[in-house]
Order: sequence, then structure tokens, then C-alpha cells
Amino acid sequence: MNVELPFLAEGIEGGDVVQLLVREGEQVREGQSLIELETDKATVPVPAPAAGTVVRLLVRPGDHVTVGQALIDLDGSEDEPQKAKTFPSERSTAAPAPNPDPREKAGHAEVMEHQEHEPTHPMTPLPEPAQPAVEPKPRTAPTSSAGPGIPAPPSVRRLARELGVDLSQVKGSEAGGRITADDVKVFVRERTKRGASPSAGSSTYSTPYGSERRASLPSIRRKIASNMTQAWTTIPHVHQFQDADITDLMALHKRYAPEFKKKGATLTLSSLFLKAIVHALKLYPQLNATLDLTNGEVIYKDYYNIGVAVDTPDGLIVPVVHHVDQKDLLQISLELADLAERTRKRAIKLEELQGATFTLSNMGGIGAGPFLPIINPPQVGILGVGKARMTPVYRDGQFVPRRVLQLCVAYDHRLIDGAIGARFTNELVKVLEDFQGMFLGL
Amino acid sequence: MAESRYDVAVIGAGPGGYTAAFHAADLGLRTALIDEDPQLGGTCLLRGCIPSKALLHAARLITEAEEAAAWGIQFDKPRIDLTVFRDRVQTIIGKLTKGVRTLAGSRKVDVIQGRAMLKDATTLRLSGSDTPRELSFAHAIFATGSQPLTPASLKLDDPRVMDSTSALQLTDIPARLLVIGGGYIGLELGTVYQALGSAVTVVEAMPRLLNSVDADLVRPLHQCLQRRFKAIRLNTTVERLEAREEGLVATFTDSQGASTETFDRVLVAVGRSPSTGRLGLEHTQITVTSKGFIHVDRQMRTTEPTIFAIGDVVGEPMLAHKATHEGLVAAQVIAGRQTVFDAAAIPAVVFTDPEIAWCGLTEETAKASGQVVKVARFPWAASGRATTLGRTEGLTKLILDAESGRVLGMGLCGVGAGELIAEGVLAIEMGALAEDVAASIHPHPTLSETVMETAESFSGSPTHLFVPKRS
Repeated sequence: MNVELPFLAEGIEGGDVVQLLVREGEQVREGQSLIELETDKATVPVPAPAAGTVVRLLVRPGDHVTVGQALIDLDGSEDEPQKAKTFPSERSTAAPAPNPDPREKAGHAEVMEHQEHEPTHPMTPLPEPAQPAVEPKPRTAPTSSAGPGIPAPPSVRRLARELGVDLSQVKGSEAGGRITADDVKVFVRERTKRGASPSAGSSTYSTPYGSERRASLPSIRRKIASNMTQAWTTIPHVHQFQDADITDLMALHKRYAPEFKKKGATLTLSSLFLKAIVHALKLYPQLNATLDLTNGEVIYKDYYNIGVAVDTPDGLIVPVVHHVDQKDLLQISLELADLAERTRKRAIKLEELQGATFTLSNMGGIGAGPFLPIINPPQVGILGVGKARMTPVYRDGQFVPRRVLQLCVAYDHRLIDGAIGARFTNELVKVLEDFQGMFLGL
Repeated sequence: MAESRYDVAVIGAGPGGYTAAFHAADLGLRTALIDEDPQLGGTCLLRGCIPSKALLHAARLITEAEEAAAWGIQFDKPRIDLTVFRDRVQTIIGKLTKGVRTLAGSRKVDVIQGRAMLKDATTLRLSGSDTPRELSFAHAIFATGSQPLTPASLKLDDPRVMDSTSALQLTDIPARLLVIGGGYIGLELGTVYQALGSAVTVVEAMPRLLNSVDADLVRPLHQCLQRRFKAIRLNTTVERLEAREEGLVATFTDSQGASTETFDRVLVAVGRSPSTGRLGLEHTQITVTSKGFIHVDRQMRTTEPTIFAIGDVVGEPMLAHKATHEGLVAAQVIAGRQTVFDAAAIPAVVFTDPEIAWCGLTEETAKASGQVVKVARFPWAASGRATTLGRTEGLTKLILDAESGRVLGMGLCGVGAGELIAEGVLAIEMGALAEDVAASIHPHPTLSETVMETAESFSGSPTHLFVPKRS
């Protein structure tokens, strides 16, 4: 039987094969990870639908595969276990069956209960990749600078130059080791995945104006680029600015942060913002909604999942804190720290990146000033905050030093009128200025 | 006064220079093409490839008429009108150089006649027919070429001592011609003069003609030339030349000792040296190798970032087609393209009769470097086409990777070798295997079949040659 790439999640049509976790002839158990796939959002394992022997691998690292495409030829019968290459015993425990049926799970991603401590780990490191597509080329001649070196046609050599590929590192797939354009592309994808140093993936050259460097665009960056273009060109954004005096909030933070620390959590401003956002969203459900223009409907959501933008070495990724309304600040703080950490390591699960109804982008940590955030569709709103500044505020006949945060809410003007957007923003400010008031129902 | 600045100033209008200028202009750069000579085309067009090939064509007409006797076709001894001959060559040159000028005009390349010298890394000082002036540039490409080299010991102020340039002018047909140097220039021009009636003696210091070419390729040519030339003296040096009224007396030294012989003319063809003099390179950071070549990187950029150099002036092989390719690279790099000169094979052709051509790895280089190769040969005696031509002395060979059979080099000796070698270049650049070449159908009956049959012998026996299996 051929194992096909199953449906993974809404909007995910396929991905690039990062590595093959099994070898031909290997015995696999049901649910054992067969390949590791990089989708636009996360790296996910593809499990074996049944136990059996791997007859043939149908994909190679770097291949782009789509849902329904055959990945592996699996012989369902479990005979000839001696043929299976013996693996270190830790492998079987290191890679437990993560998603017995990803289809079902993904389908319920948006209503699932939170699973903060799910033991499975999609990025479980495995002892060795099954089939390295890349290996250093053995040198046949000691110092043969004479004669043609690498068997690659001029067109492929040009491609390699443009992609910054050292052809001596590429293994040719054709007779005589001839390198094809596809070999070069596979090499680049592979390199991107392995997170090779940027200098290896780029090449410097001269122009009339000075030297430049070309590097290939990682797939996550390509995805961000296309999402941003879509968001910016289709959504009429309104950017609503407002100042929030968070002096009292900072005092509250200062007072309770040690308490949180005792419980192993870090109370951050982001956690407080999440609570404030949910409070305001409850009052203005238009901002916790999705516009369905096809059917001429608005979808109001009764759950409050807030995406939090995380800066990772690979680029912007937005994990989601689900059901913020049902969690207390301690839970939110713990979850946020864990999500951010795993996002940076690219160890986040696909479902943890989905289902957001609103987004927070907090750039205070890097000392940013106010900025105009871009909405992440199908959401209709986003809050962007930079760093609060000590500002003289005129109060009771005199200037007093107050910590003022200039925040900016972006909302989709197709669905949300300026008055609603402004009221929502004012409500946010009100909560941030009087956090306790929120709990008192004021 | 420096006039408005050029994006690219190309110095030298040979095939390298004009190619660079044309492509720079095509890439949208404001380009000047500067040459001392009022005619464009450089050495190749004016005093190299083109006139020499015109002369060789005429020489071939004469020798073919002689060969016709073997078919029972008798021609009278040809009468040669040197004036018509020379005019014809000039017409060919004129036509081609005019073509280059027209192309320059239609591409809006400013052609400037004058001698260019660098004042600094972005300014040229021009002298010559126009009033002296300065020209500023963002980038310059030096394509100043090379000139015939005459060792001091052979320098005589006598018109009877010629270099390749004066030999091409065909002032007269000397009864006795001495050619010093058994390289391609000496052999090509020796072939021309022999056909026109001179008794030609070739002297070569090395143990064989065309020293850098594989010995098995040179052998058929050597045998042909031995019949035509009066003498081919290897391992021999010319100690001195003495101009006397009755002729030029050359003193030879070989293993037998010294001897003298008198000639009516002497052609010195011992090599060419890069033209780097009086260019003002010292006003820039440009560095030059011990042999006088300008240092460049793979993008043809000199050690002065604004200045590029291409062609003979940057090194061997001094061949027009290498220069053109380098010119293309330089223009593209200046225009911001990401290009390098990375040819896997540069073909070389000796237009003697028979011709010799080769590209890529030679058998002897492979041997010297210890590279494991398999050499496949196909003698033209087994070629139907060669037999119909009465030219079975030829040889086709492939230098193949011993394991995969990848084509690493190709060599040919025989009529039309220069046209056949392009297939070898393509095979090498494409990383083709002997199997690929053997599986490509070649037209019958042509000499190109010899390439296919050579390739067949990598894994078996070619149709027209039985190679007993080694056990």
C-alpha cells in the first residue's frame, strides 16, 4: 500500500519533506513517524497509518509534496522482521505515535481543549536522517585543476551561482554524477531546512553601486511575504491610536510579579494585555469575528483565542493562546512563556498556531515606539504596542510624571466602523489604566 | 576637460573588446570603444585569425589541386598574382571590419580612435588623431591584446626578418624561408608559404611540434609537413641571425653541434606577449604577473575595482573566442549580473593541413596530474568519409573519466578538425558521458561519425573498428 500525505489542517495543501525517518526495509509500527514535513507554519511528522515494512521510499528530502501524494510504499504484512535494520532502542520510545489521526484532530483544532502538557513533541530529534541527499563529494584526483571539474551544464552552473550554491557540495543525480537544476534546488531546500549559516546560502557579487549579497528566501519568509501582501492589499485598515497611562498597571505588575515568580511563572505585560483584550472583545464582538463575504455573513466567535506575535530566528510566527477568557493570569503567563519558547525552537505544533480570533503584537520588549500593525486575516483586528514612556501628564493643575503607552488598534473597516473601533480602543485603554476595575465589573 | 562620463570605456577593439562594448551597450550602459587603429577588429581581424585563414584557404586550393592528380585530374602548375591575392585578403578584412563598425553604430557605442592611457582609476587620457583629451568612466575594460614576441638575439633591423604581422602582408614569396618556432603560428604561416612555393625549414627548440598538444594528435600532421617542408628541425635553437646581402644566415645549435644555413626570409614565431606597456597601469592598483599578464579574478576584475581586463592581456590561451567570452562576462558583471568566467573547456584549433583541434583535458595533462582516465581513439582509416576524401591520416580521441565515462577532453587531427571540436566542447560543458555521445545519431557519411565511434569504444567495440576485449 502507498502511504499518502493525509489532510493536515485547513489551508495546508502540502509541505516540503525535511527528513525521512524510516529506511527501506524498516519495520514500522502503526503511528510511527515516517517523514517530517515542513508546512508553512510548523514542522509536523507524518505517522504510519498501519504497521508494516517500508518497501520503498517515494519521496526524498527537499521534495514538495501535496495532500494525497504517495510518500512511502508500505507492505502491510509484518513478516521478515529480521530484514528491518535494528535501531537503537531509544528510537521507539523517542518517537511515540503523536497523532493517530491528524485529520480528526485538525478538524477540531479550534474547539479542542487546551493541552498544555501534551507529551508528544513533533521535533523529536532522531539519531540520523535516513537518506542524506547531500554529501561531500569525494575528490578523485589529488590536485586536478586541469580539465573540466564538476559535471554540471552551464545553465546549472549559472543557477548555482544565483542561489549561492557551491556545486562541489551537490551530489548529481544523473549518470556520471551529472548535476541537474533539480539537484541544485533540492540542495538549497535542504540547506534552508538545516538552517545553514546565511553566508553558506548566499553569494556576494559586485554591482556598479557596490557589493551585494543574494540569499535564497526560506519558505517561511515566502509565506509571510504572501500573507502580508494579501492582508495589506485586501483589508481596508483603520489604525486607531490612543494613549494609555499604565503607571498603575506597572505598579500592579511590580507588586504581583514576585508572587508569580514563586509559582514558577513570569508575569509579563503581554499576559495583562491578553486579559484586557478579551475584556474589550466581549463588549465589542464585531472585533472577535470573521467576515464571510462569499455568503454575506459575519461569523461571531464565542471563544477568545489570541495570537501572540513571536520573533524567531526564522521569522515572525504567531502561536495562539486558546481560550484566554477561561484562564487566569497565572495559566496565561505559564502558557505564553512555553509557547514562545517552543515557537523560537520551531517545536510548536500546527494546532497551536491556529484558531486565533485576534492578535497581539507587543514590541515593547525591543524598545519599539508606536507602529501600525497589519491584520492577520481571517481576523479583523490586531493590537500593536511598543514601549511605554515616562511622560509629563497634566493632572489636578500640575504636571506629573506618568508612564504612558501609545497603542494602536488596527481593524478591518469593512466590518468595523470607526465609532466601534474607537470605543473598543478606549475600552482597552480604560482597562489598562484601571485593571482592578475590570474585575470589579466596572 | 573630462567630458561627460561613460559607464564603460573599452580599450582595444579586438573581438574581446568589441564584444564587451556591444554587450555593455545592450545592457543599457553608455559605452565607448577606443582603439588606436582606424579599423576595428584588433589582431584577430586585421593581422591574425582572419587574414591567416584567408591565406590558408588559398593554400588549400593549391594543395588540393595537387592532390587531384591521385584522382586522375591534372592541373597545370598554378600562376599566382600576388597583387590580386593581397587585395582579396584586404577586401575580406575590410568587409568584416566595416561590419563591426556598423554594429557599433547601431548599438550607439561611441567609437573613439586614439591611444588611451590611464590617468587614475576613473580617467583615461586620450592621444592620437583627435586633440588630446580626457575621458572619465565608471568602469573600464582593458582588451589591449598581445603582440608578436621577438627575442633580442633575433632582432635584426632587416625587413627580411618577419613576425606574424609582416608575414601576413605577403610582400613576396621567398625561395627559402626559415620559420623559427613550431607552434601554431609558425606552422600555419609555414603552410601558406610552402603552398605558394617557398622551401620551408621549421626550427623548434622543444622535442616536438605543438608542444602542448598530445603527441598522437601531432604525429599525422608532422608526417604531412615532413613531406611538404624542406626540413623540420626539433631540439634545435637559433643562436643568431646574420643579415648578409645574399640572405639571412642562421646559426643552429642541436645535439650535433652548431651549423649555419642561409635563407631569403625568416619568420620569428616564438610566441606573443601581452600588450600592457604605456597604458598607465602604474597610476592604478592594477597588478601584473611575472609574465606580464594583468591579474584578474573570475569576474575579469583587476585589482583596481573599477577596471576589468579580458583577452590575451590577462593570460593564456591567447584565443579570440576566449576573449569574446571574457568580454561578455565583464560587461555582464559591470551591469550587475552575477556572472563568472567558468568555461569547462576552451577549444583550440591549429589550422594546418591536416587541422588539429582539442578541448578540455589532454591525455598528457591527465597523466601528469595522476588523474585516472580512459582514452578512446578512433583512427580515421576506419572512417568511410575520410577514405572518400583520401585523408585517412586523421585521428579522433576522447579523454574519459575512467569510471563513469564522462567526457573530460577531446582531441582531433584531420581535415575539418576545427569544425568537429565543437561537439567535444558541448559534451564537456553538458557533463555528457561517452554513452550519451555514442547514443546520439551522427550523420553518415561524415567525419563527425568518428566522434560517435570513439565514444562507442568506451564500453565496447565501435562498429567500424574491432577492439579485442582485454581479459
